[in-house]
Amino acid sequence: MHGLIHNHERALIWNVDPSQKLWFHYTDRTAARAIFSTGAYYVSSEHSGDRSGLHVCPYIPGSKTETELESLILDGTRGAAERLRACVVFAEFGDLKFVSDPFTQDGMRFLAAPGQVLRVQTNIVGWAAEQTNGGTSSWEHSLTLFDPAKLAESRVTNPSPGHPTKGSFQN
Amino acid sequence: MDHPGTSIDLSGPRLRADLNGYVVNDQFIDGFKDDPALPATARRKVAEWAQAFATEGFSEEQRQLLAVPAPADDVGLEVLRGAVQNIDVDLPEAAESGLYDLLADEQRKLMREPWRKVKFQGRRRDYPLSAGELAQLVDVSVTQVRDWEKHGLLPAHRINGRRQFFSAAVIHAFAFAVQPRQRIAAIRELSEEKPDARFEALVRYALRN
Repeated sequence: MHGLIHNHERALIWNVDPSQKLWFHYTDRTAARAIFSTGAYYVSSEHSGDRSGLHVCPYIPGSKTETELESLILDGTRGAAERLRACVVFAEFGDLKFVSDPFTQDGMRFLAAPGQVLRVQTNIVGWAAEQTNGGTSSWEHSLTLFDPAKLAESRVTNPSPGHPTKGSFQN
Repeated sequence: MDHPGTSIDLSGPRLRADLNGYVVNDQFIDGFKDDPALPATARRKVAEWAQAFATEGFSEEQRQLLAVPAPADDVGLEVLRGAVQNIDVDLPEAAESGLYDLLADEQRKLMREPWRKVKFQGRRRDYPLSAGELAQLVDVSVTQVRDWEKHGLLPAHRINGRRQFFSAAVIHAFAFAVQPRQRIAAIRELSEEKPDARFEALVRYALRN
C-alpha cells in the first residue's frame, strides 16, 4: 500500500548495518505519510512549554508490543489510540540532535515550540506502517529503508510478494 | 460527490536510509548527481541532499538550484498540520470521551482503512476525506455531514480552501449517525459557545439520575 513493501526484513537497513543510527517517530499512518511527503514536521499544541517538540525513540517497528511501547515512550498524558501504528524514520544529522526526554522512560526529543514547522528534509529517510490482516499484523516499509544490494538478493530468492503496490490509489 | 479530499503526494525522490543516494520511481539511485530529467522541485531536493551528504560536493547546476528559494507547498503543509493535529489532539479527545472504544470492529477497520469503502472515480481514497467521502464512509448524507461540521460537532481542517476530515471525524460521525435527531440538537446546543445555563443544568441533572 502507498508504495510500502512487505517481507524482505533481512534487507532492512537496520538488519544489514546495525551501526546505522536511526530514530523512530511513532504516529498514525496518515500523519506518517504527510510528514514523509512534505519533509517537514509540524509541532502540534498537544504539549506546551517544556514538553513540545519532535519525539522519537530507538525502537524499530515490530520490536516492541504496543503495550511495551506505550510504557517506554509515551508520557502517560494521552492514550496510545492509533498512535503506534506507523512511524517516520529519522537520521540524526545537522541541527537535529535528539536528547533524552525526561517525561518518558526511553523516549528522545528535539525541543521546539508549538506551531513550529521543522524542515527535516535531510533527516527523514523512510516510513513504515502496521498492516493488519485477519487477526495477524505485520509491518511494511518504504523502499528507502532497504539496503539496495540485499533487497535485490532477497527478491531473487523470494520474488513475491514484496513489490510496491502501484496505481490503484487516488492518494 | 464534487471533489475528492486532497491527495498526499508520495511520488518524487526520497532520501535513502543509508544516506548514499535516493529512491525515485521505485529505483535506487546511487549518489546525488543532478538529473535534468527530473522535475525542478525534485532536482532541488537532490541538490539539497548533495550539499549535505555528497562526499564530492555538489555541482554548479545544483548550486544554482539551491540559490532559488524552495517553492512553498502550502497545501502539503495544511495536510501535515491537519494530520498531526488529528493524531495529537483530535484522536486523544475522541478516546478520552469514550467514543473510540465504542467503535464496532467493522467501524474501526473502516476508520483505519477508509479505502475499503471510499472511492472517487473508481479509485480508492485515503485521508484527508471530503465531506462527501466521509458521508460515503459512514453511510449518511453529505448534507448531514456538512450540518454536523457547521455546528462544530466534527473535527475538521481547512485544506486547499475546503473543510476536510481525518480519522477523529470518522469516530464522531459513526457516533452521531445512530443518534436520534433530537439528541443531536441537544448536543449541538451544548456545544455552542454560550449554551443556556438552565439547559446545561437540566442535562447535568438528567445524567445524575
